[in-house]
Amino acid sequence: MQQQEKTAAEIAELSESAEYSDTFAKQAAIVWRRFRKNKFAVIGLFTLLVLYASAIFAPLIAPYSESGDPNSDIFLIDMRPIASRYKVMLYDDYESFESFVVILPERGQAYYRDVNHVVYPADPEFLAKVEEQQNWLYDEEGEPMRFAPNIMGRDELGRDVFSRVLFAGRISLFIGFVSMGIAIVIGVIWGCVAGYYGGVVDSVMMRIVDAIMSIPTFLLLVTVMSLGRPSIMKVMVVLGLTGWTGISRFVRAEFLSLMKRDFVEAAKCIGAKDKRIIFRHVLPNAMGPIIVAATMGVAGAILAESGLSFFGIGVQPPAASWGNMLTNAQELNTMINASWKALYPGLMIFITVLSYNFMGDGLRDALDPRLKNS
Amino acid sequence: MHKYIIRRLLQAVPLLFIITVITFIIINTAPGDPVYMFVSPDQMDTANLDLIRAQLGLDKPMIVRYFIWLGGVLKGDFGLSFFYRRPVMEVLFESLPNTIILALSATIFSFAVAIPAGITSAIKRNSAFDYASSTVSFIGVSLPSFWFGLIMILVFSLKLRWLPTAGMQSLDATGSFFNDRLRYLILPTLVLGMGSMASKMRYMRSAMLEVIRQDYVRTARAKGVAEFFVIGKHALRNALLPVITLLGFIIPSLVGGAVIVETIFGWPGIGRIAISASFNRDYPLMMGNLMLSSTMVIMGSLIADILYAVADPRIKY
Repeated sequence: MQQQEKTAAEIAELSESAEYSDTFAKQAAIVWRRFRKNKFAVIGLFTLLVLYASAIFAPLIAPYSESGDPNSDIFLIDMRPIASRYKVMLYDDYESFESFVVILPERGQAYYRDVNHVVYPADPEFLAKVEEQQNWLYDEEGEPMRFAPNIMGRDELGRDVFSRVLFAGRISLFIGFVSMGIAIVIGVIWGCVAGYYGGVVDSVMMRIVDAIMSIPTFLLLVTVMSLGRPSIMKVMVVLGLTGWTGISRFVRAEFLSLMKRDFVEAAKCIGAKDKRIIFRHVLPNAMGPIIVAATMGVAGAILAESGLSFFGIGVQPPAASWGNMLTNAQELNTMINASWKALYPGLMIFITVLSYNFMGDGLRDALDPRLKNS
Repeated sequence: MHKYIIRRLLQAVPLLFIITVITFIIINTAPGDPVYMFVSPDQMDTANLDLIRAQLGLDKPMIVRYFIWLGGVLKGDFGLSFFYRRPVMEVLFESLPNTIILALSATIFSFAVAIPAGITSAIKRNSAFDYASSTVSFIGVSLPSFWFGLIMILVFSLKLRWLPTAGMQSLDATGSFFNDRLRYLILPTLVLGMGSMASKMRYMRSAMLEVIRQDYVRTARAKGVAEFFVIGKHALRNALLPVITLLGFIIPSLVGGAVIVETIFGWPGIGRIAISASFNRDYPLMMGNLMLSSTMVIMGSLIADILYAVADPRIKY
């Protein structure tokens, strides 16, 4: 009985593969079924959905604004992560002529910091002295301000790292998407033209691709970005203009092999125009690898953008990107005293890129089972 | 064989030529003017600017400048660095050995880990080790190297105080010179080699899987060869062949990665020069650096192709 069931499943699998499925909906269902088998790919997809959702809804989720609050931030520079709501008091010690910022969480231990941000636990005796002065940080209504938790701490300008990570995600994720879009368009057109026409056109176009590929990518990016004024627009365009070579290469290879197939020959015989052969017959067959390359390419673009922003030649402050949030974290004393600034933005880049790679891997197996080698 | 090598060398010439054109256009059409780097703001009048522009050879039209530069390059002269006021190649060759040391140790690290790990996970397919190594390789490809570097510095240099944070050697090196250098080399090697290690591990695994399926492996097993020799002798040799090609692929990622790693770890190589040259608008140095790096990439893939042809008698050239 069990044996029979298995055979039936195998038959179903067989009939689904390749030729039997002709409609887009059917194919999508098959791809999804194969994709679903890869647990890591599903986790990657889910993580990315969460990341994109949190980027889109950043203004709703973020407890603080991207640029921070100039009235209170100055007292809370490089504050360590705190998981509870808290109030802040200022205290001037008239004996030692020192000023302290006292953090009073609603749950947990109160502590205070001196001007060098050195942290001391607050004992009741000290708190009593602070209470006498009643020097709160007030909000607009004149009430002591209740601060939302800073689950990822605060940065060197006292801004909430968590909120900035959310807003930075908007830029970083968006840049990855757009630049890959540009790269895909150029790469596909370039590969189509070279592969379709062949001959001299092909060799000239491919030599240009070889040349660009011989220049180490990040070196080229640094060169281009450091000249002129960096902007988000420029980052996207430059990443797009440098990222298309790999795609064009395999689109061309795909074309060369597909052009020899019978259905292209047949299309030519009945007098189909170049444009129709390219867009109707060849390109749809090359779609799978293009989608996979695009998925991996977004990961690469996000990595490259964050690298450039890290060096200060990508996204410029005050706009936050995961890369430029790390720029200030590389000083050694900030790394010791405020390691959360170095940790979280990089962690976000890592998680995003990892998810894209997982998803790309799953897509490759799902879209093109021939490539699967395990 | 000779013919093949010569043909490949000749193919590299138009490639390098296209690269000169592309990079020259990119660098010289960019907005902004390097002249302002050399004038103090109080002396900034047109006469001064024009004088400096003429001194730097920037007063001529771009095409003329390109051919002047190309003429020099053909004679082995890459011009004077704007910033250092010394020949470009002198500046670059000073720090090239440092980059090569770093790149070499990263290569050794990545191969030394990737090959055994890849083989093991291919042999023990779907085992815990296989899953672990494939997870590691995914992580390795996805780690942003600048962040990974920072975390390594934070953990191993600042918290544990095992290794130095930056630089290439101690100022007051006591004990063995080699040991001192080695301590400085560990973290940059790890960070630079991580990405290529990860990708090679997967590559090695699939190459091994491919070979294990072959008939000659089955034959070897059938005639009673011990499993150790089946893998070590019959399979491994053939699986290692495509890995040679990776030697060529690895160079672009190493040279590009060196820019980041050298900057983070204060390693005085050409990657760090690339960054500072870009920030200083040192056009000749930027051109020289791009040309040197591209040449290394092209030579790398050339050598890999030749080695492949030597190692695999099935290849006809």
